[in-house]
Parts: sequence; C-alpha cells; structure tokens
Amino acid sequence: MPFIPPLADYGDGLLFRTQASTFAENSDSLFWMITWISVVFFIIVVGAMGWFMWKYRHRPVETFAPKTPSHNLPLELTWTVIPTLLVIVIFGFGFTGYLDQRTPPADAYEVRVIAKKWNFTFVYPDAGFTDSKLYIPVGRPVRLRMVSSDVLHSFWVPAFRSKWDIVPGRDSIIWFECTEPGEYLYQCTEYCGKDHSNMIKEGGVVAVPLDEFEDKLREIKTVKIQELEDDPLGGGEALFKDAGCAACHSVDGAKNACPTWEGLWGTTKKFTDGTSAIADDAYIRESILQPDAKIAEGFRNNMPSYKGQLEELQIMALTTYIRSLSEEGRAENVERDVPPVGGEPEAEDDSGADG
Amino acid sequence: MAVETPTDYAAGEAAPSPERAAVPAGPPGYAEDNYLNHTKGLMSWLVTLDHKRIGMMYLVGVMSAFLLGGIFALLVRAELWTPGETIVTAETYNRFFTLHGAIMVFLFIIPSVPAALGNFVLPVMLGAKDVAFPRMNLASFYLWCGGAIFFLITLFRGSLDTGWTFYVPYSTSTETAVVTALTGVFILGFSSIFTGLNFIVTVHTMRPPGMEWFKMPLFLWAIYATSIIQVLATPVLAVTLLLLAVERTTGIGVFDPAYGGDPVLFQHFFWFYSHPAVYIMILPGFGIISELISTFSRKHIFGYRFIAYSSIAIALFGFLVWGHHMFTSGMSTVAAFVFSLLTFSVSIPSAIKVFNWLATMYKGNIWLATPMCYALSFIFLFTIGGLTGLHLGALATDIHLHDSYFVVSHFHYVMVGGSLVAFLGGLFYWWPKMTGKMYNDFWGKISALIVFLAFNLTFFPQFILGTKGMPRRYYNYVPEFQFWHQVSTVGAFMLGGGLLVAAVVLVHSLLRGKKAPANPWGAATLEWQCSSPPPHNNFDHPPTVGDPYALNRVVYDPDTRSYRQIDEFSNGGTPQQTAKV
Repeated sequence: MPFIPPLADYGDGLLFRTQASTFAENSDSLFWMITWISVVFFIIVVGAMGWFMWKYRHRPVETFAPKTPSHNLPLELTWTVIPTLLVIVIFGFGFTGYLDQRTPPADAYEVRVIAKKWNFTFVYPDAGFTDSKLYIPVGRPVRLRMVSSDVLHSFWVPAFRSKWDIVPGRDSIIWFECTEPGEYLYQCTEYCGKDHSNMIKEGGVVAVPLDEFEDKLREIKTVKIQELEDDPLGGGEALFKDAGCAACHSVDGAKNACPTWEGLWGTTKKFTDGTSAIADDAYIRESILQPDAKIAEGFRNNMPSYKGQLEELQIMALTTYIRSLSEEGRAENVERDVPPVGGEPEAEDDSGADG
Repeated sequence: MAVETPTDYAAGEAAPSPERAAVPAGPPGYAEDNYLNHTKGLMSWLVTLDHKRIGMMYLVGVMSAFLLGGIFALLVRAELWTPGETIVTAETYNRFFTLHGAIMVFLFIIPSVPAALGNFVLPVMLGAKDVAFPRMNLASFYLWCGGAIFFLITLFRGSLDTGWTFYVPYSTSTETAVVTALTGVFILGFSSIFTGLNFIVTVHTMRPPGMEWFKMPLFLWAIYATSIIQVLATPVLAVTLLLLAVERTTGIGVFDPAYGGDPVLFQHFFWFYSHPAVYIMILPGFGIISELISTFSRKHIFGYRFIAYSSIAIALFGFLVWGHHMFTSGMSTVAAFVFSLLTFSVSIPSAIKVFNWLATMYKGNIWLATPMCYALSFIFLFTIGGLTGLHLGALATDIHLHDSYFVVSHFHYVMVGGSLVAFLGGLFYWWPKMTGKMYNDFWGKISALIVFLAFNLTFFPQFILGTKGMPRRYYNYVPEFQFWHQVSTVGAFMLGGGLLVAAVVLVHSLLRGKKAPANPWGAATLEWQCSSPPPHNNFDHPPTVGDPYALNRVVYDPDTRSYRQIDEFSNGGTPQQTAKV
C-alpha cells in the first residue's frame, strides 16, 4: 500500500478545489469568514477552559471555592447579544449569496439534464445530440434544466461550489458561470441506491472558451454522426452505455428492471394487455420513443421516453446493436451488409456469444 | 452491625446522617437493602414497576443496541479503507450505513439519556418515589423491545438500504424490508411518547414541598424540555411512516411521483420530527453537563435561569428549523430565508450554555474525576460541532457543503462528541448511585482520553473530505481522498477501543468495585441524599429541598472519607442560599 502524504494531490488548495465559477469566490470567502469567527470563539472557549482547568485545579478537599457571584445580568446579555449580531451578519451574507445562485440570468445557455440510476445524460437541444459529458462555454451563464426519471438525485460540481437536488416529477433548475477553461468533476450527491457512488465523472464538465464553443459542439456532433454512419453496430453499443440503456436493460440475459436485449429481436413478445407482437425494428423504435405503448409481460412501466433526445441515426444504431444480440437479428444484419465492429466478423459473434 | 434499613430510615430524618452512616459494614450511605435486592427472581424484574429497575433494563437494552450500531460503524469505516471493494459489495455497504444510522438514532441515542439515565435519576432527583405512571413506564420499555425485535427481523429479512432517512421514492421502490423497519420505528415512537408524557406529568405533579420550578436541578429542566419535544413531534413521524407504509403496500400516491405524490413533502414531514429529534438527543446531554460542571468545579452553577430558559428556548425554536435539511431540495427562496434565519436563532441558546459552564468553572476547585473529564471533552467537541453548524446554516456555503462529508462530520461532532460523550459522563457520574459500586477512576479517565483523541482522529479529517468534494453515502471514491479516509478508519477503531476500555471499567466495578458511599462526588442534588443504591421507594417521606447547587453546604468528612451535608441545609437551607438562586 503506497503511502499517500496528506496534501500530495491537493495542489489546488488545502480545503477546496480551485475556484472555477463566479460563485466560488463568494462562497469560499463566506466560508473563511465563518471559519475565522469560529476559530476565535473556539480559542476563547477552549482557551478559557484549559486555563481554568490549570489555574483552578483541584485543591485539598477541605477548602472551598471562594464565593463568587452565581449570576451577572450584564455579562449574560453581553454574551447573548454579541453572538446574535455576528450570526445575523453571517446570515445576511449567506442569503445574498444564495439569491445569486437561485436567480439564473435570462440569457443563460440552457442544457437539459436527465438523471437516472446511475448516470447523467446531457441533452443539447440547439446542437441536437446527447452526451454523458457536460460541455459549457466559459464566461457565459449556463442554466441546467434537470429531470429525474426514477429517484432523487443531486448534481454537484465541487469546483463551481454549486449543487442542486433533482426531484422526480419536477423541473429542477441550477445555473452557474464558469470562469476557467478546463475539465471538472461532477457527481451525484443524493443517495440513489446501489451504484450511487459510480454516478461520478472526472472531467465530466468540459468548459470551452466562449468563442470556440459553437465550433466545439458542431465538431462533437459531426464526429458522433460520422461514427454512427461508419459503424452503427459499435455506435449502438456505445449508446447502450452512454444513453443510459445499460442501467435497466442487460445484454446477457440477466433479469433487471427491464427486459433483456439478449435474443430479443425477432421473437414474439407478450404484453400486459394480453396482445403480442414480433419484436422487429418498428417495435423497438416505438419502445424507445413511446415506451408506455406496449408493456412487456412481467415488467412495470418504468422506462422514460427518449423522444427528442435521440436522433434517428442513433435509434437506427441502437436497433442494429439490438439485432446483433439475437440469432435472427444477426442474420438480418448480414443481409443488410452491416459493417462488423472492428472489421472482423468474429468480433460480432463474440459480442453475441458473450451476451 | 447496624445496617441501615428502610424502617429506621422512615422513622428517622430526611437523609441518612453521616454519624449513622459511618458503620464498619461499608461506606457511609451504602445500603445493603436496596432496590436491586429488595425483591428477587427474574419475574421481579420483568414485571417491576420501579423506575430504577426499568431504567436499568433500558440501560442494558440501549447499550446492546449501541454495540450493534457500533459494529456497523466499524464495518462502514473498514469498507472505506480503499476505494471500491475492500470487504463487501456496494449493496452490502449501503445496508451497513443504513443500519448504523437507523440503530444508533432510533434504538440508542433517542432513548439513551431520557429513558435509561432519566428513568433512573429523574424521580430521585426530583424527590419523588416514582414516576407518575409506573405501568406506562414499563409499557414504554416493552414497546422499545418490540421496536428492537422488528429491527432484528429487518436485519434477517432482506435488510434495509434506504438510509435512515427513508427518502421517497427510493424507499417506495427498493426491495429491502422497508415496511418491517418502518413498523419498528413506529413502535419505538410510542415508546418515546410514553416516556416523555410520563416525565412531563411527573415533573408537574410529583414535586415534593419546596421543589419549586426554579429549584429544580438543570438536568430536570433539560429532560422536561426534551419530553415536550417527544410528545409533540413524534406523532408526526408516526403519521409520516404510516403514510409511507401504506403507499408502499397499496400504491396510494402521497409521496411517490409515480403515483402522483411529492417527494419533497415527505422530506418536510420527516424532518418536522427528525430535526426536533436532534434536540431530543442533545438537550438531555446539556442537562448532564450542567450537573457535572457545577459538581466537579465545587461551585454553584452560573446563570441558572439563563440555562433553564435556554433549554426551553431550544425546544421551541427546534420545531421551526427543519427546513435547513432541505436547502438544496427545491424549497422556495422565501422558505430558505426563514429557515436559515431561524436556524441561526437556535445557535444562541446553545452558546449561552457554553459560556455559563465556563463561568461556573471560573475560580472553581476543579476536580478532574472521570465524569468531569467527559464533561470537559464534551465542551471541546460540542463547540466544534456547534460552530461548524454556522457553515451549514449559511445558505451560500450550505449549497456547496450539503450532503457532503462536512455534514457527516458536523453531526457526529454533535451526536457523538456531544450526546454520546455526555451520556458516558452521566453514566460514570450516576454509576455509583445506580449500582452501589465505585469504579477505577484512573482507568475511567484513560477511557475518556482515548475516546476524546480517537474521536477527533476519526471525524476531523471528514471536514476536509467534505470541503474537497466527498459526498456522503459513497461506497467508491476518487483516489485522492484515500489518505484522509484511512486516518478516519484508524480513528474509528481506536474509538471502539476507548469505548471498550470504558465498558471494562464499568463491568469490573460490578465484580470487584468498592462499595459506594451515598455521596461520592459531594453533589448537592437530592439523589445523593438517599443511599447508594437507593432503597426501593427512594424516600419514605418527602426530602427537604434546598438549592441544588449549594455545593459549599456539602463538606468532606475525612473520618468517613465521604461527603456529608452541613446539617442546617438538610433542615431547610439557609435563607441567603435559597433566596439567591
């Protein structure tokens, strides 16, 4: 076990990460103001206690403590009024800082966030793609409109000193303005079950200079589309993880909250309303966009709709990937000349066999 | 051999006089016939109506729960030794921290001081023969046992992984034994209400002549304030948990948005109880510390009325600050404004108490016996716990610190450094009275020192983890936090060791301890005027009440190596003493 010295990886300050938002300085200076007031009070209290412990240490039991007053109103009022005034000042700073954080400017750049067990997905409505990373411009306010598709989550970027809970059934809003280009960590900080502590991404917030931001988004989108066209199978597999499908669906037959994808394509599915249908491309597309239309037998209606979140190309890539997980689907893929992942036909078979 | 018997106690004076107590059989005031051996047999304990025996049974119960909760704490800390899997999987870890929290809060801290120590001490300290409703008192204990059984069933039937807070919708969707655990907490709530109600009525109706409100020891004020919270707040928890259980079993929408409910409503309901519950945990501790500081400084408590009123103020303000647990949950800005302001207001009465304790020590004659060591440790730790509350009460800083290790550290400084240390101080203080045995003071002090040092080693690093960005309830963490996690884990195991030393000291005293005199510490409150251990009915006729902090009326008698009251005091107190309270 290598010894890690206490402050080794703390290049960015003893207590805090490097400030990277317009709130951070305000929040930290209030923190230090309270801390210094606390230190003074702590020294007074513990200093007096230590001094009295020594100065008035036990003397032979026959002697009494000298008679001293057992109350003193002016003294009592002094140590009631001074702390009261101090906490009112602290409250005032705290509240004004809070107001800033809770009042997003009208011209903020909006990103939508979908939290689910156990990942965050960021939807860029203008740019038209989704990603597991949050790309933001430096020097322009950013507003996140966050929803949860299952339980409570909370979005925290420590470098921004910014956090807000995501309550299912509500739009939860948080905003900040990043001041330094760079990559920052985000994480979930409201307990949400088994993999709560994996709902964290180092470098998950990417801050890009304002004038490069539009280009950056376009570049990411181009890359994503290009990848999907070149390699729908690999792209679909990546989407399976990135878009959050993996949280509920398995590809190895394991029974999770939602039906497994192994051997799904081409089979006949039974639904809770008693009807049944063959799981073909149309069925999969409908399940992604309108998941409550048909509920597979033995499962609850617990999938969120991906309408507006996934591009057509992405849905097609996911469908291709799902096809690759069943016997009939693989035959269909061969018929449609789908390029295999990595170029080797074995690789495709392996992924199916793995599953 | 002239042994003190209830007969001559009844025929004689209010308190055993030193002359009669100085017999060769034992130290002055040691009673051979006492509540422990007054009747014999298992049934005489199981169906007892004696508040002292019920208090002792509660003590055994809460200490067992504390042991169980402590084992889970050490398992949690052991798992956090490395990021990712160290000893168990994420699912098991989530059960560990949930059970640690739930057992410690509901089965240990809430009943520890009021139900265990309070049950034993309150009537004797008040000068009463028992509580107002002895049968209800026994029922309260068996309700506690019932709640504990449901917790044990939970352990073996799917366990619990919701966190002790049962936040919806996770708690309505997880597959662990949520309803069983809820039933346990629901039953424990009634146990708590019974105790609180009993104490309120006892304090109102059973004070002997001369025991006016402002002659009550501060421990009684604290327990009284606590009881008000128990009676008023606990029903809200019961209703909330019932709604949650109904929602989980029948799918009626109250809290879960999947059924049209509101999760934030659950948080409001839950904290409407659970924040006042924080004061159920800490107020009795304040009361103990007021007694200890005065007794072991050999001085009248300073600012009696301010301390008494501050207990009531904390109990009342404590009802109005629950929203500070939800500053990042999506409350309105107006609500956040009000809750933050009220949160700061509750810090003032706590500060007043600390200053008054210090003023009591000023020019005192400070005797560092084991209970005093715990009391001084309390002042140190509680001051840190209280001051870090300012960072969390201030809205702008709370946004960053909320749900981080900073919060974990803050409330452990209050709940462990405060409540637990005060409980131990009280236990070591009243132990000779409860058992009639003196313990080894040297090893008692060693235990206090280890607990103090190990506690700081465990929890101080967690402040740094919190500001750096370590969220609470995390199984896995980024590698840069490993050093502080390991320091904390080492501290936790040392803390376990310190508590083990304390346990050995107490158990050893039962087997080998010297017999205790009536008043080993020279305190002036009434419980020290009856023998150690107290006789079956405490007082055969109402004791004479004086100033509970007139310590210069209690003198050390070198012949008997014990303290005794100066006689005028037991005859009613001198006018100048009683008038100046």
